[in-house]
Amino acid sequence: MKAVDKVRALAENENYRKKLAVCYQCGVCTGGCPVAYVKPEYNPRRMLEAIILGQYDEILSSDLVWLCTSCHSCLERCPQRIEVSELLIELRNLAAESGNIPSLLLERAKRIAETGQSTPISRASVVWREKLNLAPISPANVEEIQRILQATNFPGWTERARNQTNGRRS
Amino acid sequence: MDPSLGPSKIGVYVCHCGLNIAGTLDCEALAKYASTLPDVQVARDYRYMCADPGQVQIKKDIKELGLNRVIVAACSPRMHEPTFRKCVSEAGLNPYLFEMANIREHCSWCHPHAGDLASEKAKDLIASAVAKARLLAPLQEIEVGVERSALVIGGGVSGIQAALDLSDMGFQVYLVEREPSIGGRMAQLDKTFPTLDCSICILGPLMVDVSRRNNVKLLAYSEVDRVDGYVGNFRVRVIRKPQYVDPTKCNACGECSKVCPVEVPNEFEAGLGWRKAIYTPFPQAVPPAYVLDDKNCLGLVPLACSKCREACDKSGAQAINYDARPDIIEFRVGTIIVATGYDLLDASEVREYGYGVYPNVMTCLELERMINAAGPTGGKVIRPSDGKTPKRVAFIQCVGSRDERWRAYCSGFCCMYTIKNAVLLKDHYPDLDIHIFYIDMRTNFKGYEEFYRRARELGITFIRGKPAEVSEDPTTGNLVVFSENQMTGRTMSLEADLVVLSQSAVPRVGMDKLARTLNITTDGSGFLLEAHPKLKPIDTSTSGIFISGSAQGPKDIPFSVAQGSAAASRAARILSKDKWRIEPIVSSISRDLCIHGRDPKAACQICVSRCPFQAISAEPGQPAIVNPAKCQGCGTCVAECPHNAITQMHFTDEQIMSQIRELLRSEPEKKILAFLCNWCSYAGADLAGTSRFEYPASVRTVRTMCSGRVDKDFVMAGFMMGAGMVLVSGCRLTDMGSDCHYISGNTWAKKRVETLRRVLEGMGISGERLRLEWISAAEGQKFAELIRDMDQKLQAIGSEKIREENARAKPNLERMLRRTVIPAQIVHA
Repeated sequence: MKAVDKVRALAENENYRKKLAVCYQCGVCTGGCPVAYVKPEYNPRRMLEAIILGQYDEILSSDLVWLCTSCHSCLERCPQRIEVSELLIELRNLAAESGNIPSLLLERAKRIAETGQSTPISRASVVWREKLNLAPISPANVEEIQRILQATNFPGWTERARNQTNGRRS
Repeated sequence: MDPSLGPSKIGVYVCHCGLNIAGTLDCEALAKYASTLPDVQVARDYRYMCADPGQVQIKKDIKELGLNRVIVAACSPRMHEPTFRKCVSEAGLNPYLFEMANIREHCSWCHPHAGDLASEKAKDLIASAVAKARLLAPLQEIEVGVERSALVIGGGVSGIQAALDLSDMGFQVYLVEREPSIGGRMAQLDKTFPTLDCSICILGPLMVDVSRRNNVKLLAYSEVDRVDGYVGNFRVRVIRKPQYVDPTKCNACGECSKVCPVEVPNEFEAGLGWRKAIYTPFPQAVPPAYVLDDKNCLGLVPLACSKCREACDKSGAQAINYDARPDIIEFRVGTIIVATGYDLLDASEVREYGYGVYPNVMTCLELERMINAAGPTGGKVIRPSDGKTPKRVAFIQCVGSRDERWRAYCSGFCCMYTIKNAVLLKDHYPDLDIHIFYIDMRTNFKGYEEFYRRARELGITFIRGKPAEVSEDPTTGNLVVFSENQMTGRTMSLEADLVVLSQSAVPRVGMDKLARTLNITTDGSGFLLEAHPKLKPIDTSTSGIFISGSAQGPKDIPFSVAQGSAAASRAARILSKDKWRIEPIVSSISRDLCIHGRDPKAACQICVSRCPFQAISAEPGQPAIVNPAKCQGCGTCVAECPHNAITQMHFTDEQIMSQIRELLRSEPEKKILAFLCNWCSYAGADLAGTSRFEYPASVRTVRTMCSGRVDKDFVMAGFMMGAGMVLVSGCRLTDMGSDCHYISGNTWAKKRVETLRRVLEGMGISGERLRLEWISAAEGQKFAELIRDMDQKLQAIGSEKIREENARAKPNLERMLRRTVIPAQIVHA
């Protein structure tokens, strides 16, 4: 299924839709969003409205979904109890499936999938740890981590994303 | 001889209702079928039974054929039962010897494509009505005397209006007010929207008027403690708190207040000012006498200080008496009006706006008192932190309202009072910069939209965007409001030196206690519940008790005044009669079967405890007895009595059993036997038909007044007679409360059905075949979906398995039923 269809399936699922459709566009989500104060184009209220109105392509093609910091101010303040930040994270997953993922995040994701770590352990840090009598960092249990990624459907898109030479630069 | 006694002579009339019924069902064939039923003398079909010719025919047949039972198969009884009852009584037949079969809302409208299945259902519904009619008894409406007086609880503008109207009509009124003075919220306001009338100026004369009427007894500083009785005959007990000041001697000179050493926050000033322990709430207080607040006084027993009495004695009035005690005042009234108003949400709960933490964030009521020339600052609007005049004020709307986290509803008057306050501020301080942050502006009555325009003309800025947060600069006390401005689509932060919050209106403290005292219900939000949201906004489900003003839901002054007059009018309907008639579908206890009559040591009293209207009493050693004037006719006691000693007029066990037998006469394993309560579920099923929602024709309905009436015997009999599934449905019961028209009938129904389900499972009947659901009168769609779901499950289980399970359970069911039910009624033909 194409990512845009998955978004449609999510947004048009009756139970889920009911939770979104109650939005009365008060704007408290945008009003409390730290990103919106820095980047005016980022407007959670508008993004939610776009989902409600079925403008899925727009959401998926822009890189705005990647700017959410998950501070959850919107979710806590929404008078209709809409889980705005959770929706954005969901949209992020779906955007990634259609290759819309900043390259930095894509690389990090690949590294986690391959080595079980998001940042590599440098040789310098190994040396220093010895000098300071700190216990060495135990290597990640790559197999276990990959099983977790498998169970949570992670490889599904990293595989596809891996096949793309670049993620979107952001 | 009374023709209603003796053998039944039944007339059945099948209505076409134009094409509403005739378009789907063959009415002629139905009439022919009806004529084959035993005791049916005549069966006719006609286009519009409720129209004149239809009614004339019924009356003619009653007179000429000596009919003593009449059935009309047509629309819902909730539609035309009163019409036909009147018709038959005009022909000399007791109106309770009439029954309706609902073949429109419950058949033709909801089964337009069911063909034969719809016909079969219509036949069964007619046969069921005929079977019940045979067992109906003539009933006389109960007449009670009417006390020509009314109690009005709450001395705000709504209660005052009700009291004045009733007084004008010549009725004695008791006006009870909790505070030392009447006036309520309106007395606290400065100006009223949209005219900017001075609030106390227009209210004051009404307050004085109501206190001077010969036929109005004003009981201020008092609370209603207990109410017994029933419509026309309420016995009221009021406790008047001790004032310690003799109102006949006090001349309100204020010398006592001057010397009192105690200062407490002034409730009337919304906590902004102080008052003494001996005080009058505001200058125009009615009654005008001072009041000693014994909770804050230094002490009366032992006497700690007596400065006020000394000052009063010195002044010559000698009005203070420390030995005062609470007064108990008892009286009788015919009707009660509840007009107790509203409170405001504690704004500090909405932490994002900093009320209670930042000194310069205030509430609308606090601002109201500040602007008021008689208020704590003499009409000057100042910042609480430093007393300076603000340069920019931000108003924030919907604080706690329209918010699932606090109150889901809209409080109704805040948009308007904020515009009013903004306009007043602009008038007093023309250079003041004012911003109002809103989600929607609700300005929907006379002059309101024009007032909104005026505000914009004055240069008040309206910003669409609910602020996310208010933060403070602690050095200046200035505030920053963070919000999106939807006009620009950009976020903004506005620095203001004063922020005013419009917080949600909430039910008054003590509302639930008062509701219990009066036996009326509150709605999901805690406001008093009206009998019908559209057609009976003033009545409650308890006859003779009415509600008005913000106690029923937040509303502005004209609406409150209108409701006050409306309540007076509804009350006068009763008070203007010598006798008031009550529908006789009440319960009645057999002296022989009640355990209290048979065994002097019996401690049953189950019926007494089940009755939400306290209509049943049981003296020791005496059988329990029902007061028919208090009985509202739910039938819960009938179903709960373990000795089967209680019956309900017009809904007897025998009548209902006879209906069940007819409805399950053929292929019962394919049928869903549904017990629907009159006020909610039956109405919901009607709505499903009216809305033309289609659902399977396998359901067969029995109407009871309340789900509490559904005896476990009915359910057992249903399964014993082979039913596929049984549905018991009533008014909504959730964690938030009960919508039950009779307050608690559905609660007992729930307990009963859940216990019964376990018993039936033990007998081999799968639990899913007995359903308990709550369907409200507005849930037509839900009803249709429910039947579709049940029918689907019924078919999934399959007729064979159902017959098997029923056969296995039958001996047990028969044994249990033989103990309680007249066997002849349940034996299959």
